[in-house]
Amino acid sequence: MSDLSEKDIEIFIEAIGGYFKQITKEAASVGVAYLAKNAFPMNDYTGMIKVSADYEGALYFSAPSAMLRHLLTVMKEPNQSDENLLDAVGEIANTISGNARRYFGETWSSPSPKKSHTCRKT
Amino acid sequence: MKLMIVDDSNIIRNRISRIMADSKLPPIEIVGSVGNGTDAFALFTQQRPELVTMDLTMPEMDGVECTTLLVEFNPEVKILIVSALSDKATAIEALKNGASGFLYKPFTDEELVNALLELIKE
Repeated sequence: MSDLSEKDIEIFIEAIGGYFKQITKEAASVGVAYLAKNAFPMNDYTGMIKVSADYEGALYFSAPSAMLRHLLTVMKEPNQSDENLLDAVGEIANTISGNARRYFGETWSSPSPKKSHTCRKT
Repeated sequence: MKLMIVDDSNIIRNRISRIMADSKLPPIEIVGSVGNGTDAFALFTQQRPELVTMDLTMPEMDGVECTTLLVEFNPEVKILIVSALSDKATAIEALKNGASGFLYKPFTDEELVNALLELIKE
């Protein structure tokens, strides 16, 4: 069992960039990439997939509501309900994890995502 | 021509429906969209679609198992796997089990239309 390397992390940066470019025609800019070991930056909606291969851990995709609503608008999805916003973060987490199998190989296991909505004080 | 959409993501099922409605493909009637393999097999036996788009990672019954069942029931059915699992081994397994084509997520509208057009032409 080992930590992901910098090169490994690049795979996820490429996957997330590729997702937004493919769907919205706009490249997603990635800030500082790092491996979170304790605290995770959580936005309004989060999709999480437990992954295992030579590594064991979890892949999180967390996004603010406004970003997800924009994504659904681009996808011409009129129903921007809580259920569909959760569906979107789950689908993105699933896609990023699935795309990672091209690099990590078929031992990269990723079951269906768990999705959550973070309630915040305004 | 009848099409059934199988994907555990509601927004993906809706997106495929919209792309079909907007496309210039030969007339395709969407006979239903379902979120898992069990429901897919039930709908398939009722509606007898000639075309299916099939996700792989789904609860209850996954896409490979469902593809095997559908092809056993009707060997003439054309099944397009639409999945984020982008390693070669997964694609080969799906094709061995009777799928006719493979489209990686994320996909553009044009990629989906072209992939289905290829299957219709066969």
